[in-house]
Amino acid sequence: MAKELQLFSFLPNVKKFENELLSLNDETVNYGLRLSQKEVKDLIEVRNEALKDSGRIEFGLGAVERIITCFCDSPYISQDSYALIIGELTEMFYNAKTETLDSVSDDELLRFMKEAFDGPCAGSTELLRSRELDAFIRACRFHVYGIKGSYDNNSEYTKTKGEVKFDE
Amino acid sequence: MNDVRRYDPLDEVTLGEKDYVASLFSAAYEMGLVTDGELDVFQGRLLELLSYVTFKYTKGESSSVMEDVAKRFADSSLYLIGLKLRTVESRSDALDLLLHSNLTSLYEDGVTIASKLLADCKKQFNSIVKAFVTGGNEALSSSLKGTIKLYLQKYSRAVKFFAHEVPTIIEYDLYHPIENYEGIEFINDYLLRLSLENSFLKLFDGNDLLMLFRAFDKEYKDLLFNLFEVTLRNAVCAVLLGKPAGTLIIDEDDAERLRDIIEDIDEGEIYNAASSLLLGLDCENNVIKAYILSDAERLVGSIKRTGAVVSKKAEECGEIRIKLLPKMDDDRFSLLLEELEDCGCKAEFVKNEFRSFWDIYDVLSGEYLSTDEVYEYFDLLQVIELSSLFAFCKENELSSLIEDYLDERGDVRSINVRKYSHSIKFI
Repeated sequence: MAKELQLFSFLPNVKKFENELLSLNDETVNYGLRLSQKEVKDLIEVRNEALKDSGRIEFGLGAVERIITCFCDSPYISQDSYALIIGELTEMFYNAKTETLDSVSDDELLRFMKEAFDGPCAGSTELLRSRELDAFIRACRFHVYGIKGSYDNNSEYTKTKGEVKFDE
Repeated sequence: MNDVRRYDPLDEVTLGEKDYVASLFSAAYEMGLVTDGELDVFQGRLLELLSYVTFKYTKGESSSVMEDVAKRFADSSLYLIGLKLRTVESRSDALDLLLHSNLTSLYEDGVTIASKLLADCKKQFNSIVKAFVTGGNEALSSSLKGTIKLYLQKYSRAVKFFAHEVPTIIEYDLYHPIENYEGIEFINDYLLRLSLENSFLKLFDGNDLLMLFRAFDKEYKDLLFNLFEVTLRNAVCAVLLGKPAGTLIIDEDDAERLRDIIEDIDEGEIYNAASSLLLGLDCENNVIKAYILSDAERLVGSIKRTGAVVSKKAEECGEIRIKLLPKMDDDRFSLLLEELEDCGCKAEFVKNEFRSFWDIYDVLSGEYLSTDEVYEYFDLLQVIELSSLFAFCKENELSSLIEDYLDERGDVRSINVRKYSHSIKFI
């Protein structure tokens, strides 16, 4: 039999991704935000590292694009911090996907992150990561493991019927 | 017109059924039929396909999945594409499809083929479980009715994402293990082979099989071993000993002789013995024949290494306890005798209507049936029933009638009847 050939690798098509991210500037420029060529390259590198660290594979640019379009209207993001914050949010996003055991959809997670970032975190990625997302992840995991209730009493978040929300 | 087939350089290499796409690509790449550029393009298209599969799996709710899941998608997709490509007559055409046609439609075609195989497997599964000889073996029962049944139930969803996977644990090993297939093809082949092995077991007397398995190990029900192999080995050894085909029970005296016989035996002799066995069993199933005879070397090794399973002599086997039923009341007995006189099929009537040995003895010794009809009645009885009757009638004229019958039949069943009759104890 012929020797085995590596038929596929999950390596992304960087050039294609760069062009897709650069094209988003047309939309974000309305909020005074744009990514330079170098920032786009760095962001793709951050995204690839984040995927690797969280043990995930993504076929396409999916999440980064959605993070940009979701967060570009945030009052806490300025041009100076834009690339850095998107990079941090990307890391948090993939990490949370894995840590929640894939129990939340991309949209659900993004909605939560945006509300927390613009709300109680007041634009602090550190608070978002260490306080809000941490609690959110624990709430999701308890829900997945069917221990709902034991955590809810002390939690700011509950996950009911597939929807994670702030406690009233 | 002559059937001229186009020369296909890819025909010169062996491609695995497993990893068919990868091995086809490798062969084509080594022959220079695929360039690096084409390989890059293919990889890009494969990623698009995986993106499509991921979208279907997550129902569009997540753009990323865990690495191990993505790897399973990739293996499954290539397996399904391989299923489709293996239906293409020429390998060059298959390669052409791979390089130039839509991978999603190849994948979907593969899903259709796998789904058809699943339907076939379900049919086959149902026909196998209907009449299956497990001898009470737990590994066999749980493999079939647990693991495989569950796999078949879940495969209709798994086919789109994890089509190449097989159950992680199928406890019961086959005589010829499956090496070439994965996914539903593996299960299809497993069921086919299991069915063949079972058809072979059915050629033997059920009581003999149980005695053999018990002699193999008292705890045989909880033991992981191949029923077919143990049966085949003893059946072939019995033929080597000159016993009638179908004999499974080999006692210590036989074992002594067998040791001398198999010391210098070669593959040809084992092959001949196995052939005689199949002939003697009236086995006309060519697939079973091929299954057994295709690897005489293995059979020789197995027999030389392990010999036969040796049973204790019947009289040492412990007793078989049979409860004696009371004689029916005289009025009922007389009524049935009247009916018997007018009955067309007397043997069957006796079998169905008379249960107590006392009554049977009275009927058979009362000359209500001719000798042929009595023999016909004996033919209808199971080994253990006739053995019990034989034991019940010891030392009277019916005993000599049964003796004559057994002498005339002179088959494995007759040997077993004599053997078991020594172990019967009435309670």
